Amino acid sequence: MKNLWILGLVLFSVLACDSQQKNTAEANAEKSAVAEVAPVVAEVSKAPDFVSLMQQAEDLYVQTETAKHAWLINLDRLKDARLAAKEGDMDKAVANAEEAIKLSELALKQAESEKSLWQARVPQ
Amino acid sequence: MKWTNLIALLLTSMMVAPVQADPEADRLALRDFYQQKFPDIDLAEFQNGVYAIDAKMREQWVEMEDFPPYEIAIDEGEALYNTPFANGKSYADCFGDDPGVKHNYPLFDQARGGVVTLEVAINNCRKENGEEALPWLVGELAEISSYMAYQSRGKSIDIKIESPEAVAAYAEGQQFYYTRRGQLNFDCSGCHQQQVGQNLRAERTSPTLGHATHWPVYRGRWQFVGNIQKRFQECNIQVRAVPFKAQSETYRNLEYFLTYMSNGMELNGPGSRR
Repeated sequence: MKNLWILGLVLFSVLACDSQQKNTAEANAEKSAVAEVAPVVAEVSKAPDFVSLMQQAEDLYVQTETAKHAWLINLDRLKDARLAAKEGDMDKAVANAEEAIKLSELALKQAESEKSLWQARVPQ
Repeated sequence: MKWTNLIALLLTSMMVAPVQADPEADRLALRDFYQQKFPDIDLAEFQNGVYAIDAKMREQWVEMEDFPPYEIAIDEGEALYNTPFANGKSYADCFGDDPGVKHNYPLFDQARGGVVTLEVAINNCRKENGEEALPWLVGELAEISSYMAYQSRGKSIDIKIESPEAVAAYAEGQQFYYTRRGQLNFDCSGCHQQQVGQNLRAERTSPTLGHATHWPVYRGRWQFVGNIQKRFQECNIQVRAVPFKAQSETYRNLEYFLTYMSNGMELNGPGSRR
């Protein structure tokens, strides 16, 4: 009977140790996952700026569409900005959104100047 | 403000009317432009597009016409044109006994308040007879219009611009044609007027005059027959501009202007191009 108690105690300690090891491994895995996510979380803190920047980029693009002067490259930049933001690369996302804004401004300048310039190209 | 001042203001604003487009003067000026640019080429030759101004390419094109790649589209189009709708009526009920009506399109429809291209007219006919509209750019619609274009061969383009609304649609199409757009900052006339006949990579740029005579076209790079608005989209993409939807008001007005520029020229579509 005494031997049975001793065997039970040994088994319990082995299982407990295994369970502790598993918990430690899970905790470590969790820690490493957090470590991976941490930069993303830090970057997401820039998100409010990006959201307003992206909104500005998209609004300007709509203006180029309304003016019938939308540029294909702008669609690429907006798409790249969204994709980079989704992947957590906020520097890239911001850079693409800023470029989209600049391109839209150029397209709108083109639309404005062409309102009168086109007439000079009509054969008289 | 006194009544007299108000009346004076109203009269002044009425006097400062926008400059009216003059389609016929524009067309004649365009013909003069090409006549001066290519004095040795007869104006009627421009119905052959770029092949009017490039002898070597013309030689290849003439040989290709021995076995024209658009022939199947004409046959398919004829079969489709003559297939009655579910209600027993047919395209002939919309277009009359002669399917060769392409020389009258695009037209300005006062009742609808806009430009109607041949493709729009075909789809309107289908919808009015309880059929579904066909996709705009390629396939059955391009085949039906190929057959109708073939039946219209030899007829002179006869586009009419008879109301202020029609003039406004023409003017919008004209403005589009001469307006630079896209990241490359090109307008249609940049290639087809200012640089006409020059090499653009491996291609030669074709003249505006005669652009509307030969559609739909089998293009080697497409490997199928498509209509002119597919080419509009392609041109816009080539200058890195976002293209417009097929049969949008913008493209219908552009087609109206462009076809009017070839008024009086003989139709010779469908055509084949590289």
